[in-house]
Amino acid sequence: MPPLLKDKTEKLFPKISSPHLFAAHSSSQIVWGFFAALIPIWIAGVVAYGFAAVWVFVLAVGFSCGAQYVFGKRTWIQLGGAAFMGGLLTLLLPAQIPWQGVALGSLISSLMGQVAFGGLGQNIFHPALVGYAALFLLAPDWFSNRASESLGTTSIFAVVFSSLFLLFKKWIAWRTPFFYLLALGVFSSFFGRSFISELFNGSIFLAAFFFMTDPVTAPVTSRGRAGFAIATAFLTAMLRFWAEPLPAALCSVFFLNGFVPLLDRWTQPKLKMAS
Amino acid sequence: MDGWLLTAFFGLAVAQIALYQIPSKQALHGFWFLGFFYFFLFAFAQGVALFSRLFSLPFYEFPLFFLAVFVLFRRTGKPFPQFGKQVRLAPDFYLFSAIWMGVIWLSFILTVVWAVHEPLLHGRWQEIYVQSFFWSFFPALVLPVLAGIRDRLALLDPPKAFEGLPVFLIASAIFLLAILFFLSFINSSSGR
Repeated sequence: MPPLLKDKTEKLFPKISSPHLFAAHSSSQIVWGFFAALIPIWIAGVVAYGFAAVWVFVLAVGFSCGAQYVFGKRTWIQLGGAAFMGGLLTLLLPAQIPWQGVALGSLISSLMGQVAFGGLGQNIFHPALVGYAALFLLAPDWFSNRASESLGTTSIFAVVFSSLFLLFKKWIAWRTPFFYLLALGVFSSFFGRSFISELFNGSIFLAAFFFMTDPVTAPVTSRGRAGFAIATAFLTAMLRFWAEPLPAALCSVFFLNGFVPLLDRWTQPKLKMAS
Repeated sequence: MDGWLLTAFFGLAVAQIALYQIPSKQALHGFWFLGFFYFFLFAFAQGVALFSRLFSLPFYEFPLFFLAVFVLFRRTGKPFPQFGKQVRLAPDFYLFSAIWMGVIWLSFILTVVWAVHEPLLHGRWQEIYVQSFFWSFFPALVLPVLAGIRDRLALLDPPKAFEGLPVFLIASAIFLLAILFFLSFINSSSGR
């Protein structure tokens, strides 16, 4: 090939390694965007509980980043996964929780939920829910009374505002929360509960928009997502009817995270041979 | 299912998936077989419980009673030909599962069904059979779910120290945590 033509060809078709397809935002930008979406919910928590909410946030994010810095890779912190996970854990904890609880929850979330699997985007179970469930089982007294409501459920308007931001940026698919809320309404009516009071609840919206839409732990296929949403709605309605626990939605999402690999396998689209 | 029984049951399921290394697609084939196996075991044990209650027959007399029934009413030929055919067709994996999980299951039944045969006597059949349906098909789903988790882990890139069995054990432990978290609400509500 003549040198001039070669230069022109390389300019038009540069030789670069994959990926050759680019999205509008990198994964790091999306994760930091999710982190920014949590700010209105934290502000609502700070308004309701004062300095205690700030302290929980600082501790959770600090311990999560610290654990990933020591046991993981520095790039994981730059990608924002550790900070986002700490921020989400803050929303699940009550403001009155002792600092040891926040530290333990953050360490369990980081180490068991993320570092052991290989960092951001590798985990099967939602890391924030791993830490939350472990704390809930280890020290149920911290979550027992209604005064110890989690920070993320103080204002439903803040959760809705953050969810709309994520939907507007197209960082989450609308189908999963839509199917979930619709199915939850139907199942709640089936169990003889009020449609409105069951649906308009901070923890329900938090689970629907922040935990069920997690791109790592939610199913990949559209049929799988619909099945995941309906199954979670059924378990949530059943738990709320049976035991009325505050974290029914989060508990259902965490439990069904284990079924996601199977759901993905089950709902794989079948290739049709052209005749 | 209570503490140690659930842990023993789950631990054996994890060990089986780790040892056999079967893909989730294959594990799904055993779902109906195991589910119905536990369901019939449950129904059988409940029937025995009801029988013992109605005829005031203590538990330790049952082997003698069955021997007497066998001697008096024995028939030539196989009692359950269809089930025998199914057993021959099922791969070793499911037979092994059915046997050891059945043993744990039976211990669960002996502790729980004996306690819940009271509503059975009062004609609350639906309550009992919804419960037994759940407790039969949910454990049958544990093996495919664990196999699915193992399949997914093979695609990940964990740190070298965690590759293989350690990361599978950690994932299984988190799944057990999720089950215990879920059951803690149900147990607390039934305790009220």
